[in-house]
Amino acid sequence: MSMPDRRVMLPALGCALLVVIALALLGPRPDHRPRTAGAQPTATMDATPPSAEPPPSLTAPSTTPPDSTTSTSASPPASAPAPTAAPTASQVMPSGAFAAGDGPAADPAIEAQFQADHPSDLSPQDAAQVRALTVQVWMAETTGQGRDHWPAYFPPTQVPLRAYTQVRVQAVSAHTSGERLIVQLLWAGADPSGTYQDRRPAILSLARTATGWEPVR
Amino acid sequence: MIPKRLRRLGCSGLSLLLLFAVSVIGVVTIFEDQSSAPAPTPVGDAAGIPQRMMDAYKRAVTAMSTLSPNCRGLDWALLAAIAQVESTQAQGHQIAADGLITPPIIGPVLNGSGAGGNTTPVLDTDGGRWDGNSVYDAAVGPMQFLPSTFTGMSAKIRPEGGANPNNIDDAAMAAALYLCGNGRDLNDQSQLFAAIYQYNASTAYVNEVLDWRRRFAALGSSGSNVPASQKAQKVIDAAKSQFGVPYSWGGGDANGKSTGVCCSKGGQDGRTVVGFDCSGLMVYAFAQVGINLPRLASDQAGAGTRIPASAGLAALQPGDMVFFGPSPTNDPAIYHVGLYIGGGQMIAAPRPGSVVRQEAVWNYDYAGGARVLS
Repeated sequence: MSMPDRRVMLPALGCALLVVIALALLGPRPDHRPRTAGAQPTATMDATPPSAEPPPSLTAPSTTPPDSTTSTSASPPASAPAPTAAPTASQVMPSGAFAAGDGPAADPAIEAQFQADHPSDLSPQDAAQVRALTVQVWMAETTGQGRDHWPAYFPPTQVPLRAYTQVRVQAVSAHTSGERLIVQLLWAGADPSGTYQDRRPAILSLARTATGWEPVR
Repeated sequence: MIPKRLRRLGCSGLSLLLLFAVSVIGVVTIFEDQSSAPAPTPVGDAAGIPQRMMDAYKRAVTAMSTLSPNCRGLDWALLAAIAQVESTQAQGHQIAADGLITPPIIGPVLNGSGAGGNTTPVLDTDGGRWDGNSVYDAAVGPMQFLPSTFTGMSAKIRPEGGANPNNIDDAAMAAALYLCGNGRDLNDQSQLFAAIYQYNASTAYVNEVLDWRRRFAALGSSGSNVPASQKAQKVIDAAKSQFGVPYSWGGGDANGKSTGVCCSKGGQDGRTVVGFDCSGLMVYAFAQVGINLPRLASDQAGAGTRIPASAGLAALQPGDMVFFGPSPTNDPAIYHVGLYIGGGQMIAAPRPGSVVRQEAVWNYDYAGGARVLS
């Protein structure tokens, strides 16, 4: 085996160096974009492609029609990376936590949380009485039913009422403010357009009467 | 064996060829980098309102200087707020260039049966012309006028005749006239309250309209939306691709919809429904750009840069997450998340019994946003 000729080796080494530089330039580049301090997501990234198809359905899809103006394709982009180590719902979802719009069964828990956030200074007996009155007044306010019980608060009017529907009071808390009670409440219902929302906040004022309280503006 | 012609080029020749190739590919790469910069992708109408409806609101406000010259304080945001609560901006209907809305918007028949909350019958006044019912009336159009109320203003709206409550130009003009009355000053809070209350006699309604008016005014009418970056658009498209998929408590992961878990506080058993809950939809959408989010909405609020609720919706960009909870500073109490798409709109899995859809960012309980896209 003879030693290579130096006149051949040097250009060859130069070429190799250039090839290495070129490959480095053409290869994947690290992301040098600055990140905001404290802005680093706890989210993590990896490059495992997701399954092309979602898991098979166990139940029929909702009969509610999808928005006709948008695509309903459920296939994710083929090249999109997805996490592999993400916790599944069954690992982290707490049973008995709140869902938005969770229905009447969740109302007692919502009310307990609301009353903890908005403590009342009333006795339990007064609080219960105020709660019952609040439900009646708010139903009258939103649906029109029973307004004649408080003619001063709901003066007769020729103005039409297009009522809210599916109304229920979810949570009530009252506190004293001078001669009045300020009642904070959460309620659920659908507006005239039919848009249903829950946890809608509202406030009522009540004034004491000889027999209890009445709504005042 | 290297061909003789190439060998004659030697390393210098190869080097030149290599450098040329590197240069060409480098230039292409640079252009690719530019193309991956945020693209001006429109993601929604200004303030989530169809442009044709926005045009009608502005035109109606301008017309009041002639039709109701003593009226003060009327703005497009108030008209938009009325239409939001009455018909969700004619959502689900087509709006033609001439303003005609099809199919026509007709409210519940006011026969006193209790449907739609109506317990007081309103006998027919239009022979069924607008509401298709010759026995009882129904509110009509995007502003939900009773036929008799609209007819009383039609001559002023279109002196030449042909005013139609299902034409957004005519409906917006009628609403403006109705709110202005005999020259109200809508800058005065009591007059503003009275103007809205005569539209629908409920304080809850008045407050809801005023909330929307504030929202629309803050968002502006001129489309101040920040365009979605390509990555944000990819996340938005992924979420949109799930429109119509049912809500499932605990449902959804990086691969798509799935059965959930038992059970929400209200009793939804996610094991029986294939779909997404609100945070599961976020996990899926962001996975499509390689971002692995925590599973719970309250934890997702801790990902990325937090955007305080006090900054308002104007601080958001398409692709941000928006959160809802009883307090804007109590992240552990967050109970809902959506994907902001601009214009005050979000994509979300709203609640048990509903489906993934686009809707306005709720006008209460907004607890700020989080930005995980760089």
